[in-house]
Amino acid sequence: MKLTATLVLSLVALAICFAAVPIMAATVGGWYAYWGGMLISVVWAAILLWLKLTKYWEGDECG
Amino acid sequence: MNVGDILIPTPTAESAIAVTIAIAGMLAVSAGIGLYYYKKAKSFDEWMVGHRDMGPIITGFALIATWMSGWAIFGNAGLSYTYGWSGSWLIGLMNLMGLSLCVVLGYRMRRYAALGAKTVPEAARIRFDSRLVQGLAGITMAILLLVYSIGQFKAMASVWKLTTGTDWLFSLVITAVLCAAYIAIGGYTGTNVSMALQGAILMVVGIVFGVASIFWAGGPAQIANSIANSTFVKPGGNVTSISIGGYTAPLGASFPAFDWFGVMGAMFMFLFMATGFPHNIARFIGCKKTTKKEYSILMVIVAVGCLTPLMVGAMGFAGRSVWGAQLMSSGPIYGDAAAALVSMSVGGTVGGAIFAMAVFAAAVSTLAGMVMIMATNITRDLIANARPKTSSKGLLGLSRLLVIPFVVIPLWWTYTSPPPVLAEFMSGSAVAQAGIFFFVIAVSMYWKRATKWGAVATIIYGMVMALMHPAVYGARFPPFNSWGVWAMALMFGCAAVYVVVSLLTKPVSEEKLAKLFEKS
Repeated sequence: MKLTATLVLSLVALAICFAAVPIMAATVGGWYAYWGGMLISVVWAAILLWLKLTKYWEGDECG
Repeated sequence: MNVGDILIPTPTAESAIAVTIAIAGMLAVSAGIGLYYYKKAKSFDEWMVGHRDMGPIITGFALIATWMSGWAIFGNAGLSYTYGWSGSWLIGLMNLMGLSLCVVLGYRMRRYAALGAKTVPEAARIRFDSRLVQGLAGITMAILLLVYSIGQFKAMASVWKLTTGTDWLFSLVITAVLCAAYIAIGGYTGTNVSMALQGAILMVVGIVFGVASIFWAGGPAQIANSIANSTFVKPGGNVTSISIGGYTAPLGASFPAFDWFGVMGAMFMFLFMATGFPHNIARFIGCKKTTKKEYSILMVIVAVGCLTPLMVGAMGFAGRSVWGAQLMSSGPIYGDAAAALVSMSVGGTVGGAIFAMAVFAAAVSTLAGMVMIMATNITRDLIANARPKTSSKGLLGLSRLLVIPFVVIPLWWTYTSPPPVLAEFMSGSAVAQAGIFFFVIAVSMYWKRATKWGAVATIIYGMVMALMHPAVYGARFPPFNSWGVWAMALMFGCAAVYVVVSLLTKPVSEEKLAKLFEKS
């Protein structure tokens, strides 16, 4: 149950990151949107990495 | 600074010599690494995947090399130069989202490698217990990768022509000869190690030149001001009144950033295609068992590497700011020439040579990876699949022979009909790979209920929809004349077909699935 809640919250955070890129492009524009898209992608990757390492780690299987 | 203050560089005898030395040196070192690993390997299978002992640094840089093709290190500057901020979506503003997803999902490929998969379609055969899926996936990959490899030739031949001054046909032939030689003398598999070297080169060079070009053009504010006041100029030089100062541009429905729906299509393409590219996900077949720390290092390398396409995009913005739209009058390269010319202007003869080397590193690593996959699609996924008793020596010989058509066909296509804007053309093949293989390969590794008929139906739907690209048959069948509608219909149509057909058909037995989905 706890894992499901964490997963749902993480997916919501990922969706916000994804949506934030075009929103920033439409509103702020220019270089801020250009490098901002990269920064948001770093947050996305960090969330994915955290999920993988803490909840879905499979590194110790099938040698 | 005013437009025209800095002259567009032209090739000289010195630049031709420097470029030749830099490219030949990089290819020789890469081929040497490939040859070393070829001699070290005891069999063809071992050559392809090694001992599954590649660490996170090698895997990370190899993934960067296959992910960033001529599109990323060369075509991206063409996009920003030609389309301004609206070109950013195909540059891959959020390409890290897609590649990080590939790292997370693709790692499970190791499980299939442990069960004997040497290629991505073989993993599909194991997953669905179906030779039909393996064969169909193999043919589909070969077709889509053939289209995608055209971009690599245009990137290499363009940078060669711009830096050495040779004519277009000669540039194409010399790059094809260099590639074929590289592939034949040891870089054929594009081993993870030589790919990692190429990935590191293109990453460092791309980032350094990206930063330098921004200052060369007078700083970020100067560039932003120039782009805000620029309008679209068609390849050939016809000036329009359409602004390229925003993140969408009404250039026609077939342009991805025509509207926000098209932008969403481009974003989902980047989200799915990094995992859908068979030459990307195949990197994990040879990956070793990693610790959490090593896995984090892999992700950090990928994150830094994903900065490179944006930096190359910055070179295009800088070029447009300094030279205006002058390059749009000069075919067949047009705006795609921006990166090479900016590198020559920023770094002189040596800088131009180093950048040309990085373009070759990007293009040849992707090309070698794709040629390898296309050749094994035919030998392993079709011939050995249909006739399992075929000797491995015969398969190896045939694989090597197949290098010739897989180099010559895209070469001829590039010569007779070079795409005006490289990255835009390649996005067509990319959407199809994203829509089909993200689900058939990646999702199937995690969703037990996926069936072989779901996979087959998805491949057929995806290939039929690929023909509806706005530049192919889509123009005759509205609303597929809109890139956004076409891309979304292809990718989410694939998702719907995959799920619905899978739920309506019988999955592989629980007994067989157990070994694929066992908990660690």
